[in-house]
Amino acid sequence: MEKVFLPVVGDKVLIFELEDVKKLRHLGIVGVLSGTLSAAPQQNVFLGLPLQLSLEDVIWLVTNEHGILIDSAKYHEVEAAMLNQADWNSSQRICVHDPKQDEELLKKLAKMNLSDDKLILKKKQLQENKVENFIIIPNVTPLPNIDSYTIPLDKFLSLSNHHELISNYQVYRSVKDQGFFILPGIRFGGKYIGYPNDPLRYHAHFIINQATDFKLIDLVAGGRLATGVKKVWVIVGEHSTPDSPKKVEGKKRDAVEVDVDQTEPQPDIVDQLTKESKLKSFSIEWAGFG
Amino acid sequence: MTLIKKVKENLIHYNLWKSVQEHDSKVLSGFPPSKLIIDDEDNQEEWVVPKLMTDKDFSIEEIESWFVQIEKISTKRPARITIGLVNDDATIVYYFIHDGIVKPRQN
Repeated sequence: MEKVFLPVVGDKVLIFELEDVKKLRHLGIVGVLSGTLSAAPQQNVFLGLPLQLSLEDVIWLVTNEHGILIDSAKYHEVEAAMLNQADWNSSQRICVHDPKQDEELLKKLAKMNLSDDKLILKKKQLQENKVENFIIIPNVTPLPNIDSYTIPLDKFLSLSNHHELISNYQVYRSVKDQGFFILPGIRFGGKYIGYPNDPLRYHAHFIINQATDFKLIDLVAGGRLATGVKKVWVIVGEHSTPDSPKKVEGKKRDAVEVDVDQTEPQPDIVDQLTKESKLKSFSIEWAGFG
Repeated sequence: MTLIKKVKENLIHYNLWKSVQEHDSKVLSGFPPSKLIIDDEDNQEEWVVPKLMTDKDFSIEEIESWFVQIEKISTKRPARITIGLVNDDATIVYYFIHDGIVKPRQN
């Protein structure tokens, strides 16, 4: 299968192409729909495209060679530079500014009985917000010169702050590689929630946590909550023998500017993410007696 | 009374388990009056590890060591163990710890 384009917008990967969402789903990557309607952004019960992927999803896709990170802004620059007259003339891809809309807005303004000052201000705003002609560029067509707009994984990871990413990702990978689907776990008070298959067809089975630094009260609280919602509370962690070296956690980084070129890559983070790890997992639930 | 005795007495007299035995003063085995999970075998032997709620020393290594220890006693690594958590207000609660990632039970 061709690698899925993972467009980086700001410090997030946002998938705008429905076909790519389908491809990812077949790979067991669900993501979270995050788009609202531009006309009603407060409507957030039913969200749509773009699909936002978690850092762990992105790392899994890239290191397993299912996806390739692309700098969305640069990609669009490259594509725009390649457009020829035929593209400009193709009505499917070009949205032309409609002057009639401006006239209607001006008419509405005139009816509002605004003071002169306000009217001038409103007209100025209208002028500033005017949408010029623009082109719809698909996010998926591979263009020549691919190196000019791809982003290596370490650069992408240096764009955002993350906490315990390496150990979290090892937990994520060990669960995912057993065939489970994974979503963010905050809804059930965990790090991840695990599904036996596609979440549209199955209820979640597991509330997954990293097994570092947890107390007995966490086991009771987590186990009791999980059992109450017909799930199990899973802990996953490294089972180190006494003489095995302490693993090195990735350096925490301060938030950096989004400009990709100005950030220095973390040289060894990808190695740390992909190194083999033997993790133990245990599933906890209330015993139902006592 | 020692920690293991508290859990043992609770299993015998409150939860009506039979043939409750201590092993190495750390682990208990016994037979509950009825199956704990529908899919269990009849008369399945259960393994209980007592633990104080206030015990701060708790890790995945320790859980693994219980499985290893019980495997030595019974010659078979159990699919699950039960942890008996003793609180300082005389409450004892029991939680299953299954080996690996298992589906939640249906009953």
